Amino acid sequence: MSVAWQFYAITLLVYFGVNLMAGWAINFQYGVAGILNFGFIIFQSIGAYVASVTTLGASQPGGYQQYILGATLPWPLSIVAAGIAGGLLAIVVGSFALRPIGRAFQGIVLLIVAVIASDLVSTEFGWFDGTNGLAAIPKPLQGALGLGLVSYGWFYVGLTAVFCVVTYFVIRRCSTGPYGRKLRALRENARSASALGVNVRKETMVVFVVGGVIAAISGAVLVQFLGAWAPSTWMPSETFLYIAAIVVGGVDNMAGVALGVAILYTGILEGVQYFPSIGVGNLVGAVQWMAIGILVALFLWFRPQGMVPQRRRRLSTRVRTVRGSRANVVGVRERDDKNVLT
Amino acid sequence: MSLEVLAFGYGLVSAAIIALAAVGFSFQFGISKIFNVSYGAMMSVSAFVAYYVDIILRTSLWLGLVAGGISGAVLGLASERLLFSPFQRRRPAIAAVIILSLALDFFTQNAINAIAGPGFFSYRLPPETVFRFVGTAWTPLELVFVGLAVFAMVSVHLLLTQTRFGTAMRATAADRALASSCGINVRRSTSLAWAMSGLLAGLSGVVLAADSGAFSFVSGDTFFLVVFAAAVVGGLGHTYGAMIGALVVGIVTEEVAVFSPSLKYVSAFGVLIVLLIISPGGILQIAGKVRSDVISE
Repeated sequence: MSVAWQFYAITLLVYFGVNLMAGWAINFQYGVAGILNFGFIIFQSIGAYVASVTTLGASQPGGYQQYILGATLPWPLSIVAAGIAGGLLAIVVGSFALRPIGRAFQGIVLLIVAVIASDLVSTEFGWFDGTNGLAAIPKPLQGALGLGLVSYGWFYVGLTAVFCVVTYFVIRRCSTGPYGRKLRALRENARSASALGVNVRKETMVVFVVGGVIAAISGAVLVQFLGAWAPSTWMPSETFLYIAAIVVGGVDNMAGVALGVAILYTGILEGVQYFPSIGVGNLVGAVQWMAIGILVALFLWFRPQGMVPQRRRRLSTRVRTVRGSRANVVGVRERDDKNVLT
Repeated sequence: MSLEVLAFGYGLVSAAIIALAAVGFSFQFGISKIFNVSYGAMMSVSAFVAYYVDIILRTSLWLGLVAGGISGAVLGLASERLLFSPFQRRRPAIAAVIILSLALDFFTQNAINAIAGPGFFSYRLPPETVFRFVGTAWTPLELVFVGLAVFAMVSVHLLLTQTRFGTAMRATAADRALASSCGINVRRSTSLAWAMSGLLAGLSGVVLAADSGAFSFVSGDTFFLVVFAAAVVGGLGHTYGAMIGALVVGIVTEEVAVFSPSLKYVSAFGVLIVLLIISPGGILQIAGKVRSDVISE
């Protein structure tokens, strides 16, 4: 492969990995627990901003970019700081946005939070340099490793892959077993779940915070690859793309989400860039968004479970033959655990 | 003349525009229990229809206002008949309905972008003389807008209380199954509510575009957030609550704009957050008029 193609492949893979982490996180919120987080993108964004300012060093008065919290943390700590910031933001936002129990209602309030946040960050130049955004964000371990640009790129692909694997296991752990069943009960009917002893408000908040932390880490991983971050990279409408990826790929199915992310981001969004630019303004961009809208509507209509449906979870009855005896013993075994809702 | 009093006057104009939209949104939600996120895009469509009637056909803005209202009503009726009601018959999850309306919003918004282009547009408005009234400043156009909003509110009130259609719609909103078993044609009430909501969206879209001077394909969606805040502050699904909410949000946003213009829309959201913490059912719930079950579904 030529160097240009290698760079292209590296960029595609890192983007795919980051979107995969974010897609899994929002699927954990929406697919598993039923929280409609239309403001998801702000969590990815705060992770990116915090990872940037904690590695850029102190903000110089009169420098070309102004920001808060300037520091020079070593690599893994900047990611940790981003995760903490995402969690804190989730706690603050969740404390009021999740108060009403209605899911659709929460969704719109979160959408408004995203729009307001985008507005504020764009106009307050003291926070993260307003619409200019932050640039020249140092790449982690680049000096220490001493690799060439292409080799460093492949190293970063590996790093992203490690984050993806960790995310996969964390979310899998949280969404299977008794806890997963509890969350799915919450998704299906919050009132019934509450009657069975699930603390709806607490569990919703926990899921919201876990999703927020993972989103923030995905943002941190992305920004340290890109080296720049500005309000135009996290428009509130970006969240709709993640939701679209889940709806197309498969709600509550991690492989399905991966497929959806691959189709939506790597397929449609990358594919469109090869279209010739025709018509006035951003016609191709507008038509692309229209197409995604139609795609989502078609899936909701004809195949609401997505391309890869969620795994059926049920108690299994199976016949066991006990060795040495002539009688067949019917044993009932539950796949995951004993109690349905503990 | 103090700025606060001047801003109060602007607040009344804002409140009039917000009220037109918020009543339509809240009313439609009350009857069909669907969060129509594409409401903002419907407003934008009407603003552009009025633009084409006004500029391209070289008629007048008033004809544009009528055309905008009609196109809103048609769009509202079409989205109910062709999209939301058939979809509801498939018994989808509540989340799926709102994602569908978000998809419709993106589709409509970008359809305008594809047809009209991404720039800013404005109507041909005659130069106007400002006149003053007890410390507030008004243009004749603003008076017309406030008059239109008051007329629309009175019409909605009369429609709901004095006609059989209105009674049927209120019954449908209160209890769909019971209304249906009493012989009320709930499907027709629902369609009528969507058409009326679309009409109000259309009118408010044109008025918003005329009042703000320049508009683009996202104007309606941006304004929808303020409309939503007003509808929730008033108590979602309650027509009169939406009027009160519009008044509160309209005046607060303009008063805040005196001190910090960039915080104008943020303040609408501030009101919403405070309300969500005190009483998620809106102002009417504080007054003990309604139950809060609307938002817990």
